[in-house]
Amino acid sequence: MDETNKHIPEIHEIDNIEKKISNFLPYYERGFHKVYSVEFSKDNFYLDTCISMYSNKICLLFLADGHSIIKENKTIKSLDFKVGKEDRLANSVGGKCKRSAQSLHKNSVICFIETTDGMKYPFCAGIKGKLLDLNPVVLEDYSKMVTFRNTKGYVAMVQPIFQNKREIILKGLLNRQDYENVLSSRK
Amino acid sequence: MNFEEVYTSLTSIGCCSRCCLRFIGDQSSNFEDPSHSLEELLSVIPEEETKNKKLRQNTCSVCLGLLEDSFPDELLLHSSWKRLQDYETDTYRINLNTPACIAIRDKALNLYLKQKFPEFCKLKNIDEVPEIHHVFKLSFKRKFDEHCGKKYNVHSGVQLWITLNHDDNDKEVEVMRNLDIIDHRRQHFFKNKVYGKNIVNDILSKVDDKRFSRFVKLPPEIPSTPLYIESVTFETLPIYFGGRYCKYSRILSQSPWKFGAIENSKNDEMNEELEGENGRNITSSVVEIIVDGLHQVFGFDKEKIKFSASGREDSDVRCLGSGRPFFVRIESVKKTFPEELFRKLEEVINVSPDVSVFDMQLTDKNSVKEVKCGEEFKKKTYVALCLVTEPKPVEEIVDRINKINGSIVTEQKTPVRVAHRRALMARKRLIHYIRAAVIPGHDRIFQLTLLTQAGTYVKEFIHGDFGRTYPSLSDLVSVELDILRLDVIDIDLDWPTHINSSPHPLVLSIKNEKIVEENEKQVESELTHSCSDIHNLSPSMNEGIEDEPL
Repeated sequence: MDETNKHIPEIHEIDNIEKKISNFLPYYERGFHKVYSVEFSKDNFYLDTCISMYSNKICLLFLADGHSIIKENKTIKSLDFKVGKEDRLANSVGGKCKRSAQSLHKNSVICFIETTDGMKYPFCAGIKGKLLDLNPVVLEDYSKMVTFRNTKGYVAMVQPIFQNKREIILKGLLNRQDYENVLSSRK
Repeated sequence: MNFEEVYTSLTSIGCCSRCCLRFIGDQSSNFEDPSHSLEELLSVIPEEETKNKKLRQNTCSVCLGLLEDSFPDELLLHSSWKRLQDYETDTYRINLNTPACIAIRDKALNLYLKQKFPEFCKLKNIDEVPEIHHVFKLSFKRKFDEHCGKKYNVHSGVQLWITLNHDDNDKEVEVMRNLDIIDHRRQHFFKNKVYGKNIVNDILSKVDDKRFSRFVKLPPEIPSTPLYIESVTFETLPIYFGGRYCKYSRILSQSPWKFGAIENSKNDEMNEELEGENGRNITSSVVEIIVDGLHQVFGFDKEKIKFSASGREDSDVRCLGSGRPFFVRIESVKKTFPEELFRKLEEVINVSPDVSVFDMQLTDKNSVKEVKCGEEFKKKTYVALCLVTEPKPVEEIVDRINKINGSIVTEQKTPVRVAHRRALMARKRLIHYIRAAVIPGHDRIFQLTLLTQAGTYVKEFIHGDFGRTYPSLSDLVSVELDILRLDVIDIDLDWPTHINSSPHPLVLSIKNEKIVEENEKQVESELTHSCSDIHNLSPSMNEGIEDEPL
């Protein structure tokens, strides 16, 4: 390497390192783009979903900040993944092409969230695609979908229809700014 | 057993002298001068010799004239021989593409001899008669060598393909339809087509002798015409160059982006930040830089170069140390390569600030397989710059990591980052070695050195990827960590031979440490072997290591 006279900086030799560190997004935001679905909210029954799309179009579904459970500070008692004929927990995905994955529509329910006061909230996908995986962390501890809703507490991993462009996949969904406007109008 | 009887019989059915020698002699017989060899083998030269000569005015009934002396003369008249001079090579190789009827005739004669002279066949082991192709080369290669001034060599990259055909081929092959009893689908498929050579060989290997002799005339008839040369073509085998490359840029990918295949979304934020850092765009790739160098130094067509490496790193990961083994496959090359040109190639490529290549050398198809095996089975060493995202003293975390002894087993579900192109499953991976070090003057970052099993997603191992990798390093030290920068510093693959690459100092110190540990334990593990290799190769490197900071 010396013959080539190339200066190879050590890994920590970075210009403006302090600034870079403070600007460095955590991994759950790096390359992710968040959009929101509010279509399923009625009156005072808010069923918002936050869809975090990675640069490879894979989407992670979170509880959105405006969801009734969070707004009203409720505690989750249980999650029911039996939706209609399908059991989301029995979802099996085969190979690269994700064969035999359960397909989701915009209004498909991923699971029903039952709170300690006996209410039942459906958690809607808000996006069309294939259900790839459910978050093992959330399955272990339901409360994590609330506490980690802005970090790693996603509920489901979904692959939208691949051939579609991003704009088509994200059609009708709100960006952060629009969503905040919706939230403030609710009060 | 007297060979004379067999010889007389063979000549009477119209065999040429070389075909006779094939059956009477063996592999070691001198086929260049068949009549002389035959004389040696046969105690009495049959009196009918002169009579048979007349008979041999006809084309040989087995090889259809391929092994007769007139054939090479005819072949040498072919204009393609001149083209051989265009190739800067000392060697060449001949491949014969013979019509299928020769195989049928060969089998027919074989069977005829078995029936007529069973004792002779037992003695000579008739199934091991030298093949016509082989005898052809034995007989005439000296003649060809003299003609073109190059040497015949089986391993030569320059290949001469001689395609032969015979007027009656189609008619004779037609018989095979009756022998092909098993494969009805094939029969249907070839309803209006002539059976090819491979199918005929396949049928011949399966058919039983009785059935064969019912449909094919024994011994084979004397043909009316000799075979003719359909075409002579040249083909060069691809050549392979091996080497190692290092990548010093964090915005350079290994292979070129296919335009349109990936939308501009790829890691937007990350790239913007890094582009600002270096002021360069992602327009090039490691492959393009190396291919450009090859084109410049050797003059190869860029389309004819194919690049393969032992794995790949992300575009934002550097590859340092002795580098990543790779090879290029180059089609239809007419030149030879002096050793100096490889050093020149390195010089030319190493002008690029982002990529260096080392250990460039000529290699071959078989050793190239090692590269792909390295992708799956070899250990990789990484240096990572980790970020502590919680307000915790970095020294304490470093301490906790350094207390981890032995290897860590982690289970990685396919990361979100690659979930679109890989099957979803949990993969168990081993982290063989892990050490952390404080970076003086920085209180939120620390440096991590890892030795991992091939296929470990290192970035995910550090931050946990939404809990999809468990346990992650964050889980192990119960502090949220993230990864700021990553470098590959070693790929534990001893290929190609080291010439001028030098391992990363950190790698040597890890190996030293491992050796010390192992000597203490007095346990032999596979790692020591690979260590000793590197020590042997660069003894001078060892002297300075102790002073290098980890």
